[in-house]
Amino acid sequence: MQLRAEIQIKTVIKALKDVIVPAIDPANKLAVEQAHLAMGLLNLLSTQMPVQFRFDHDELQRLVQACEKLERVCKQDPEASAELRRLKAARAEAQHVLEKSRIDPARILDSIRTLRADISALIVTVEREELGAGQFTEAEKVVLDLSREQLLRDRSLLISLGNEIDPAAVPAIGTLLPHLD
Amino acid sequence: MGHIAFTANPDKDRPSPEWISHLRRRYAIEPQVDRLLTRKMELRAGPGYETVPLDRLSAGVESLIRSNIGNDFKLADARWLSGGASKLQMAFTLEWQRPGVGFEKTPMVLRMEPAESIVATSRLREFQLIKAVGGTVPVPPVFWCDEDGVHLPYPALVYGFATGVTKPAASTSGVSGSNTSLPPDVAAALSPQFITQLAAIHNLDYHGLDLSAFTAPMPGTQCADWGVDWWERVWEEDADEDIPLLRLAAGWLRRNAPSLEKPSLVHGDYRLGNFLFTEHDMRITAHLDWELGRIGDRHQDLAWTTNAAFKTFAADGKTQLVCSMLPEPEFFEQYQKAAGVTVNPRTLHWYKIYNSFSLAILMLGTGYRIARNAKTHQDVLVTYLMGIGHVIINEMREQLEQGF
Repeated sequence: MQLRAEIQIKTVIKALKDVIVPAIDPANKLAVEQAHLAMGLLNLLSTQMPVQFRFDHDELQRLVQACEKLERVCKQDPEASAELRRLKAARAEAQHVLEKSRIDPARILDSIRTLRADISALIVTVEREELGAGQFTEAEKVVLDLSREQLLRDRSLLISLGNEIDPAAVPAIGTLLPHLD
Repeated sequence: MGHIAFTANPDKDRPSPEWISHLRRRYAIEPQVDRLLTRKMELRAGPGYETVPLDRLSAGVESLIRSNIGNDFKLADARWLSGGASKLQMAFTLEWQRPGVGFEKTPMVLRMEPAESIVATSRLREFQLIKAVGGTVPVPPVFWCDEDGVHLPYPALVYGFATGVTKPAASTSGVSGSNTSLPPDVAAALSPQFITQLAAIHNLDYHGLDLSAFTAPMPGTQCADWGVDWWERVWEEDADEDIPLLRLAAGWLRRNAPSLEKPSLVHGDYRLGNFLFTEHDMRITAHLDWELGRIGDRHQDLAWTTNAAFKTFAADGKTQLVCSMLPEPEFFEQYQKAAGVTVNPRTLHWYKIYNSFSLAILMLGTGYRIARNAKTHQDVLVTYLMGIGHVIINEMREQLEQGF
């Protein structure tokens, strides 16, 4: 999926800055102010997105540590027993989430890009070295099958752009993606 | 014939001279296209597109005209024209002594490249091709060409303003003219002209015309081979995230390259949205956007015009119409009658895959690279158009699975 959020935000900011904002009537103070606010928020989004996961992961880790300390501090307080039980359960769940999410999502994208490049290189080699017809046909089928499934998801994710001649034939993206733990 | 150069992580935003040379050696393409792509890569590390004020553009146009006809003219009424993802356009009126006419106020258009375009093409090739077909099909008159950007910030050409619209008022359309839906009466009036004029372009004897910026391919598969190498080189130069299916397609195209029976002038982007017509008489007044033209195989145009990306559904909701005009079998029947040739279904199928291959590379490879480097006046539009790339490449997948 090449059409990612980063390139969308970058080009929308440029369109706002170079074309749209200069065209706004300076007398329309509300429009001028909101255009600048929109650009400011898009700029914030572009800096926030790459670190958002690590930011949240870091906060959750420190919250868990704080919970552990509070559990030790408040364990003798009978007035806090109900809240303490609830906190303990929530902290245990949070620890489970932390353990399951040690990989930065950016690494998933890195792996996707690496595998795309390596599969591409292999396909070229397989073709150039003129392996047996059966082997080449099988490799070709693997790539065609992979592409069919991925392109369906790519197209579904981008359905709102209005490029599909028959949009009803493309399943909703939510139905195509497996639920994660 | 080239094979893919898997150079370890080249910096595509700041390409080294060695990598550029490596790509030039790796891919065998038409010499003039090689020069264009090389120039593109040599300029890539330079600045992005900077907004050019109208008065600066006007001064550049005046300089270009002065170098051709002297000082006896006046440029007036300069204004921006919208439309088109690849080039900037400025309309103006030239008051001058037009050769063979006398004093005239001629409406004209400047067509100029941005710092890097969705498709790297030559203004001189466009200029020569429009001149070449001028007596055969309706095109705007072309006047002057600034091939190397000597007078203007970037390479440009000046042509006459043609009257007409690209779509009727009573039509719907997507971004950059895609998915335009014509009313049936408009489609019925335009389609015979659309088809016979395509046949006329293909049947034009171009020998003896000034097409010095083109090289005709040798008999055999050179035309097809040049094409595949051209676009795969562009993919190497521009792409970010690789697509195994494109590599598979390149191999298929090379293994099945068709032999060129008879070289023709090829428009390269012949479709609804790239010609003007006048609504009061439903007459095509000008075919535009010749920048992808080459001397090649007529099947390239036929496959392009019938691409699914330019089709719409008829009122029955089932029948797909070529450029919103007529069903594909009728289109080919009428074309064959007008051109006096038989369409080869195998060659047509090959060019359908070839066109999807090249279009996907432009949308997903070049579109990404130029938007990332802020190289155009329309970065947000080329980013939007990247979304079409997945539709195009899916069509290519279906065509590959279909085989011959």
